[in-house]
Amino acid sequence: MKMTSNILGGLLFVGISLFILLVIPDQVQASSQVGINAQSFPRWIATLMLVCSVFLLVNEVRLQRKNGSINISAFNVDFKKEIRAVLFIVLIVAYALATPFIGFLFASMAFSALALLFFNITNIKFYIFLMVCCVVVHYVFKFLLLVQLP
Amino acid sequence: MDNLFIEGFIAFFTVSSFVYLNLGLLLGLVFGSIPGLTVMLCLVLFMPFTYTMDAIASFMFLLGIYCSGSYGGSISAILIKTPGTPHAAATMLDGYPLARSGKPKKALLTALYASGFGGIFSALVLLFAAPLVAKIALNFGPPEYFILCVFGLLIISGVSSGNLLKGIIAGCLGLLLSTVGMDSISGVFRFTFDDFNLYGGLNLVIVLIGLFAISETISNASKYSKTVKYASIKTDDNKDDVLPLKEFFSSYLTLLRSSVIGTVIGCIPGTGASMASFLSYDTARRNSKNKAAFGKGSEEGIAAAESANNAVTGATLIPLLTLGIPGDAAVAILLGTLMINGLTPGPNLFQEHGVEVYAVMIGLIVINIFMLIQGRLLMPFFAKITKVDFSLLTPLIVIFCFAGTFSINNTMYDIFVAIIFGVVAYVLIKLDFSPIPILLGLVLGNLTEMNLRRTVTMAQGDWFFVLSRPASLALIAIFVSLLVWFAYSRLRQRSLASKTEEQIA
Repeated sequence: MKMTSNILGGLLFVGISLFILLVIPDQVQASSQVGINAQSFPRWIATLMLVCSVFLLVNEVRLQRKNGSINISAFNVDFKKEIRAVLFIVLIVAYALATPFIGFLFASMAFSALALLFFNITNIKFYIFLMVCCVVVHYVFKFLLLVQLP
Repeated sequence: MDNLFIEGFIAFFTVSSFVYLNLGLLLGLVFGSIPGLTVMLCLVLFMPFTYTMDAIASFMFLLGIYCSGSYGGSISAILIKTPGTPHAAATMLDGYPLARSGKPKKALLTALYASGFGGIFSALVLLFAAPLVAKIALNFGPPEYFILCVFGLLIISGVSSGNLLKGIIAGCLGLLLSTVGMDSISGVFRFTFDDFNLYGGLNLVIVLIGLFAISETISNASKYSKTVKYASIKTDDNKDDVLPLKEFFSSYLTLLRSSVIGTVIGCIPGTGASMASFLSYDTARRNSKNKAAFGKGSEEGIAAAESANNAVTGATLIPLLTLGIPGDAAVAILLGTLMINGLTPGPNLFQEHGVEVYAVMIGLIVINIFMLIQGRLLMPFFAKITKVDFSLLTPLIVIFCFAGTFSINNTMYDIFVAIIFGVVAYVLIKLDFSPIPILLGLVLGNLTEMNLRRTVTMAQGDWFFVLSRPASLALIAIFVSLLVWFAYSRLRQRSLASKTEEQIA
């Protein structure tokens, strides 16, 4: 059996819906035990999600058994692409962590420079342009929109 | 109505309305024309700017983005054979061949005029039809609203993902996210995990920024390659490269037909501009005297696709303003803006805030007129806009996201929530789940739950209660027939899109 996006997605949402169904009694206090209460809607929706996820899984397995898995493309992970994505996420998280310590303006400038390095940009004009943009965004939010940026 | 119309006109006719609508139009044009940047992204990024504006100005600003973004997608479709928006794919079928034959300005002007025509047509329909629909909707009770919500969610789930099951699962996730925080009926907290930051629920804008903007930047970062080059077309002066208005209006029947198709489709929640543009392109081709020209640079083809997709913009506001049901993801953001300004969409909106609603509807007509002016003036710059480097845009989008997210509650917590949603959306997109049903589930969650709970209470265990109400029965009948028609036209749209793209390639 090939690991397709339907199988992975189905498994993921079976897990999520089971988790939700499991935590509902703890996380949602039922105001009354009879009739519809605050637990009902999330429980029904989580059950619907579970049913759809199981159906997605069963349907995919049935299709693979019926047609063979020759014509079905497996879920391919392009590691080069995903490493870039993970690195960029790390960069964003680092930007968020640095902001309260060095302030929005300097954190944004550092993030812009690192992002351009990430994209292998050597043209100095790009760096200058983004630095100016950081100052403009900071000015607009802080002084025109009166947002107390860190 | 006459009084409201005049008062609405006066309320709209302010300097701030004109400034913000023009600013919105410019941003929409830029975002729509750059492949990879979407109208959704533009709306999400600039929504925090509307917090300091009044209801009319903020709506003008966002509607300007929405309308011109819809046209902007055709610019890159015509000039570099890369649709800036999904519905511009139909425009590309004839726009790019016409541009390649040495008439890029003619192609761009046809798209612009047709967009303006479709936009003004649907804005006029909105102005006259919305009050009537609102009057009918006043008779709707919880069961009817619940049916409307389920229908909207179901259609959007089916349209946005290739797989209906995946769409429903994503919609369920959105509905579950909407339950986080205090339950508005019983007052108990749900899924807060003892974190006081979650007591008020998840903020729509923060989730939006994560789902649509941060995920987009992660995706761009993973795909970025310096070797990507667009096959652009030079927009040098060419004597034949003009479009006299007489020539444009020679295909008035196509324009009218396509505008009607776009308006009708736009009124149905969840259908969207892609469906309208492909359906009207197909209809125009079948009714054209010059069928052979389609796919080879037919002006009629461009006009059909563009007038239909811009006719959707006004029509999607009909279910939004009258029923509170957003027709697509972009309109869901407009719904958020209305609510931030204390305007709760629904039939009562016309009675409680009639002046503002009429101002918005009149403003939509003006927006389309200014879109024609801006589109005409900025045409020389379009070729440059389409080539903006992604390495510049990606960090800039993240910076905007951070500033915009922080501005909502002045807390870093929100930024981390946005990042989490960005990463979740990136993973889900990789697994072929669309974030659009999540957004719609989140937006409609409260309305759906409230009306479901009220319906169940009203029914008192009688499951045939809903069918005993004529309005509910009529809605169910309409929706079942729409679902059948919708499934049929989807199949038709898909076969046409693949057939015509094969021809072009």
